[in-house]
Amino acid sequence: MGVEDAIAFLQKKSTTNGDSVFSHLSDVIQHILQTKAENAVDLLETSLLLKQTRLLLEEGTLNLEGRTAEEEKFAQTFLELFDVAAKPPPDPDAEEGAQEEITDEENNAEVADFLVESAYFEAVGAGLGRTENYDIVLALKQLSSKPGISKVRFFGKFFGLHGNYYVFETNKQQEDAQTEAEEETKRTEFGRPVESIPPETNGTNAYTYWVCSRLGEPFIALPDITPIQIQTARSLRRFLTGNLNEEVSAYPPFAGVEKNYLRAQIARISATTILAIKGYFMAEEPEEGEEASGNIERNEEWTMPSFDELEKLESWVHQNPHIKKQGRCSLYVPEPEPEDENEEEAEEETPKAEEEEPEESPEILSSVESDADLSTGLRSWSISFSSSIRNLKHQVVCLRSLLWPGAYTVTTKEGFSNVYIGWGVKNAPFQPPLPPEVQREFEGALSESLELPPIPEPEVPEQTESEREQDEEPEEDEEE
Amino acid sequence: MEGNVALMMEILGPSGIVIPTEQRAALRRSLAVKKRDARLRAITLWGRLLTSTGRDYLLARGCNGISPSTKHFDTHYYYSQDGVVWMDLQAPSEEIRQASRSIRGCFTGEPSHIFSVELPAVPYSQNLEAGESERTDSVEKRAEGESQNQGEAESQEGAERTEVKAEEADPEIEIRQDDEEDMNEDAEDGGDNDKSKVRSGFRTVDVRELERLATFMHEVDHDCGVVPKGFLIYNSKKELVSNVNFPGIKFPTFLDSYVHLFQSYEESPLSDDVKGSWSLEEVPFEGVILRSLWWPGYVFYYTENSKDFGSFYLGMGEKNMDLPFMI
Repeated sequence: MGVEDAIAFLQKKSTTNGDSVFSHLSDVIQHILQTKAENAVDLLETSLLLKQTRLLLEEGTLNLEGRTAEEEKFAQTFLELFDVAAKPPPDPDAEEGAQEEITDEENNAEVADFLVESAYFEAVGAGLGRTENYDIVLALKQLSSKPGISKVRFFGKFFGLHGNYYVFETNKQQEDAQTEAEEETKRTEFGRPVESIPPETNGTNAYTYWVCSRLGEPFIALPDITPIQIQTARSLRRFLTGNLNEEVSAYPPFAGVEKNYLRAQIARISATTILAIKGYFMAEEPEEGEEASGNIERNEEWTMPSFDELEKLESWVHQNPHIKKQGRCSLYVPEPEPEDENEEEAEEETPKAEEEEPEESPEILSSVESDADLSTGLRSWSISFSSSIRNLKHQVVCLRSLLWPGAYTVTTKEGFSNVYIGWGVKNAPFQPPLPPEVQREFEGALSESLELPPIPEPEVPEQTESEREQDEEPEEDEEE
Repeated sequence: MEGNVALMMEILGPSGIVIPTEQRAALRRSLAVKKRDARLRAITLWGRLLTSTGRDYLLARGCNGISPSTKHFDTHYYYSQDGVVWMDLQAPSEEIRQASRSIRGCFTGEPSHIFSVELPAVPYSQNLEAGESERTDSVEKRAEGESQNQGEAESQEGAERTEVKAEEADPEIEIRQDDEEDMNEDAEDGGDNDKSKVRSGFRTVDVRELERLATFMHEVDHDCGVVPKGFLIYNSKKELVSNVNFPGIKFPTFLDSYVHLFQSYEESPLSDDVKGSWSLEEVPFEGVILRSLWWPGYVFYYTENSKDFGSFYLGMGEKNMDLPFMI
């Protein structure tokens, strides 16, 4: 074989990738000379790797498809967030126009200064990182320009199996914004426990919570919480999925879909972990002849306590009222049934109400010091500081809940701030509830008998009656 | 093997992973210093463990060579409470590991804290003489292997043999460290006689917080320890080295593309794990975020453009034993 033949053979192209030994070896030599690896001979894997990577690199550079559908959506939300989105084609909804007018007006809503707060969170190792913190600042602005919103703050971020939720807390919104959402859940009410206790208008429902799964997407208002949802959520332990309309498949059955469950977790978290410095708020003084409303108001005379005081649990209080076992902040006592109805029923109900009454819940603005300890005997709060150097000035104090991992409270220059970033799962020993008792078989109906079925004659009704008497079914009462 | 801390914090921030500013500032230098002092090939920031007193642990892992095929992991663990000074964590004995797995509740933040654990009196082998029951299990294994002449001279040799035996017998991977630890382990075995007390079928084992911390890091590395498939390749010595021409992952949204480094590397993809034990989030234009549900707080990321990856643990250090009820 002559030299030319040999070269021709080496240059023969592979049918699979169009490569040839000649070009490949020259690539290898070129690569080694370019990279000038010191131990070039040890790196003969280079040959293999060049083969593996050559085509892939080409693949990576070519992009004929542009954005995928998912990326397109993401890019839109991103533009939306930075307020440079192209104006969408006019929507058929008349409301759209009204909204735009309002955004042009000066924004008077009280918006939490998250940019400053986030620096304090970061100092103690909480928050979402600098870039996403800024996205939240923009999202707060977006939400505050909605009509009817006068106060807004970032509540936190919930991680889910397939998506996350950013939750914002605003002042209470009118019902009509939520009716649509409620109708949706009612459609799938079948098989769910029925409410017997009316939901609150204050207490657990003092705020409206808005959710989006990516910052920049439209906000969705979560429906109000009902007592039974809180009650059931307490015995569940599950991850959020990331889809607001996902069924909450769990036992005991949950009265609602995931957005109700999320709302229940928010209610539980905010009742336990939203803190304030002692004295910052004070209970509203009830007017004469009225009971205490349970509302709190800002104490104008309050001044920021010293660092030494802030590092003690006594100087921190719960901002939100405690939720009772019933699932409400204020106990609902059903009105006693009118006398003329069945007396037995009335007797049954009264002891129940008495049982519930002894539940003592802490007063409004109760101290964190009096919180119950964890099952492992530890305090439910841990205090940390932004620095391990003790005499450093201007330190940030951080309170971290061990009961709801992810709940943080920090001191800021002029007060404090709360945030929750976590899975929405409580750190408490979990005991899966036992299935309900097996229902009793309907006795008698299937009793085996060698006799032929009775001939339909006047005797028949007597037989069934006698059977019923044997079974002692509650239908007796009706017949009487 | 060595991640870029700044990049990792940037990408994992949205997953709630943040290091206090002061520690972040200290890390710029302290990790590099530790790497030099401990003569490590690579050191990675591993995680941050939240404790009940608020004195949290920052954790790091040093690595000098890994070959899953021979089950040899030359890794070292370090902790720091201020981000400045890094201290070594010794590899605990198998008994201590077993004991610390049964501890519930969070870490205290006091390195000297001692957890008392009750374990069954005779853990593995029942065919022991009555007098031997107080001894720890690694000593028991040795006793099985040899005739029972207990002298100080054979202890070192015996311990090594035990190590080998344990590797053969135990399907789980033994993460070995240097000889120093073997000595330490041996010394502990001696000390255990005073610590452990037989009490109606149970004995109490004292586990120091640092031992629990080391066990926890081993466990998470074993159960998670995620790397993208193809990032590491075997060299001619059967050691894993990083692939300088790593082409990236073709299908980043599939769990097959990621493997457990501390199991058997290429043969242990994440898709073989318990179904539903990972949460995968796809971030458009960026990459993929994986979160472990067995170890809530373990987060892994992979970016498509820079083919970069990393993982971090931020949590209370407890395994989510309720997972079967949650998926």
